[in-house]
Amino acid sequence: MSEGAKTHTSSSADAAEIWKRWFETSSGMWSALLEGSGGIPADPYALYDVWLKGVGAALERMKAGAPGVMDFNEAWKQWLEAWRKGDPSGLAAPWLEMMEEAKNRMLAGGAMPADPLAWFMQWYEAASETWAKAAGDVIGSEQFMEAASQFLEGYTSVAGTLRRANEAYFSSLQLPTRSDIARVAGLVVALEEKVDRFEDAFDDFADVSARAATHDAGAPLEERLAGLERKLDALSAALGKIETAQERGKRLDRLEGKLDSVLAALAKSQTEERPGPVKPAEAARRTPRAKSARQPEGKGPLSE
Amino acid sequence: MIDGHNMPAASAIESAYRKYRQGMRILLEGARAQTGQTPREVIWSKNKARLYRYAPAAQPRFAVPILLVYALINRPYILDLLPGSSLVEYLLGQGFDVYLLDWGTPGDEDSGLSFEHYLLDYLARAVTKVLRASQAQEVTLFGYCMGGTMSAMYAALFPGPPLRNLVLLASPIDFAREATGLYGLWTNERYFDPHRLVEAFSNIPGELVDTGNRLVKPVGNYISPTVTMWERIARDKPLDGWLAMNKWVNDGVPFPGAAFRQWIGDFYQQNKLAKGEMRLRGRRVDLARVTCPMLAIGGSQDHICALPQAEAAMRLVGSQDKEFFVLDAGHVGLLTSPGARKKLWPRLRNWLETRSQ
Repeated sequence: MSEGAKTHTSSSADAAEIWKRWFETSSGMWSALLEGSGGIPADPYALYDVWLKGVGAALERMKAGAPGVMDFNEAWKQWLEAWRKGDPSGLAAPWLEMMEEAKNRMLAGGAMPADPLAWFMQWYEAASETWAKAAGDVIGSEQFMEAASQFLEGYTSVAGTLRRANEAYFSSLQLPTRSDIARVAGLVVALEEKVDRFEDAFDDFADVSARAATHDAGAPLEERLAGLERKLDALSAALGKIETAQERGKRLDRLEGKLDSVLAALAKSQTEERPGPVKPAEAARRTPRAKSARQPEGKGPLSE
Repeated sequence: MIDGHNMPAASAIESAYRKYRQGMRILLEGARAQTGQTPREVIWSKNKARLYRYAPAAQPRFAVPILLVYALINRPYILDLLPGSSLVEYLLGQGFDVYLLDWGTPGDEDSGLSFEHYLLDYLARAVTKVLRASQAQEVTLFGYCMGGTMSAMYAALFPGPPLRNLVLLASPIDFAREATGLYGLWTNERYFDPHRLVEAFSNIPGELVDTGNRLVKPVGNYISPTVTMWERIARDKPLDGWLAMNKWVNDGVPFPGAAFRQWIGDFYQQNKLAKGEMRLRGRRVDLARVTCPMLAIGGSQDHICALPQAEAAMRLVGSQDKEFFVLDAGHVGLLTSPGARKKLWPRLRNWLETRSQ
């Protein structure tokens, strides 16, 4: 501070007075430095006039109401009341309601936890829901939408202008720009697209030609197969006939065997049925005949 | 943050400092986490898009593969966030053959990509590639958020085989102002002109899109995550889930300009899809033409896709076999919350099981 400022260091219990003296001193210092006003201080003091008067009046009221000792709670309530009444934005009232609701939520949980983290979490859980609701009301309002729309319009204008300016600047410096790189990349993508088309066409051709080859090659094969099948059928029919003849032959053989058995049985039974005296004529006739005409067993006229 | 009543003072101070440093590092450097860890391979690519096939642990039990379609904003690893919290991992474990179409990060050269390109050039081809790779005859389309909107439009343009099933998870279909909440107000023609944004930025920056999403619940999206982080650090709770989620939230991608114009203008401002007025390369998108079985899922706490927006699919599609399921969760909670793992995922499996033979 300058010499002039140092001469005004006498202390004063009145904060407003201290502020006033400091402002006058410093404004004089700057005026002298800038040689703008020939030592007469410029007077933006007028801008603080209302505020200073208000602070002074508040101090007077406080001194009159509670001399010596200031009640903090009372002062806080007075400040809140003054703010609520004088709030031009209209946000004070809902903010206070929100804080009040958060406080009630928090206190509804009972005693405050000793652990600071647990305290913080309890406070956050109590307050966040209220904040979220308030934020939701704000962002869902028409006023917010209009403001956001205007912001977006300005933002896109600036972004677009910057983008075009950068393109022009780097282009003038003979340096590649995003659009140059995008153009080259676009050519590569187009080339890849052509390769993809070739691949697709090849895949389709492979599928179709595979089906066509099978069809063309199959027709004569089918005919040959059909011919083979016919021959096999004939062969199996012939085999069937052969089997039938063989079966019949076997049946005949079995039948002949049975007949032979029957004949043998008959011959045997005829021999056994004539056990009485043999008449001489029969004996003579039988014996020589039996001796001469005796056939080996089983070899009679009916034995064959 | 000094915890532990029996800790010596020096240890307590050291612990507090360590925790403080951990929190500040996260705030300054950003959340870091290993995400999308399920093994996969790229089976097809087009421009920035990648079609992934996830490696199954065993031979798939179901004949119909699943193609996951994500949105054009944010990254799709939310579907495969962490081991134990991954829908992809779950579906693989249940025996499904799982594929994912990742749209990639668009550059300035992609500002002209619109929904016509994404649906008719990218998604249509991806379906063909899935069928070829899986040697299947049919496919299930599973769309999340905007990906579900795109899947529904695809199903309307190409009904019938090879589309077998359609699953829409938190997918907005009806964009009537009374159904869209704050988004409907913010995108009102009186206040919001998407063309100005596109002219200024070409592709809409991911940060701008993220800001719009966060402003739906500013306190919950801007303040609560940090409070939660400090609380978890102080209490020595695991941070993996928080880190992975915050990494994903802050990992947005640019929104291609042409697609952004359509998304705001045709969908939010004019609601063309629900009215049947949407046209892609001259072809009218009529959701009544969707005839395949459909499962639509909504979140009662979802502020990005309001419940009426998701439920509108039930009255607009022509499917006979259709179902709407509501979970008490938010937009991302439908995928990652414990309730989703316990209730939604089994429900999803049961629904797909009987329709994927």
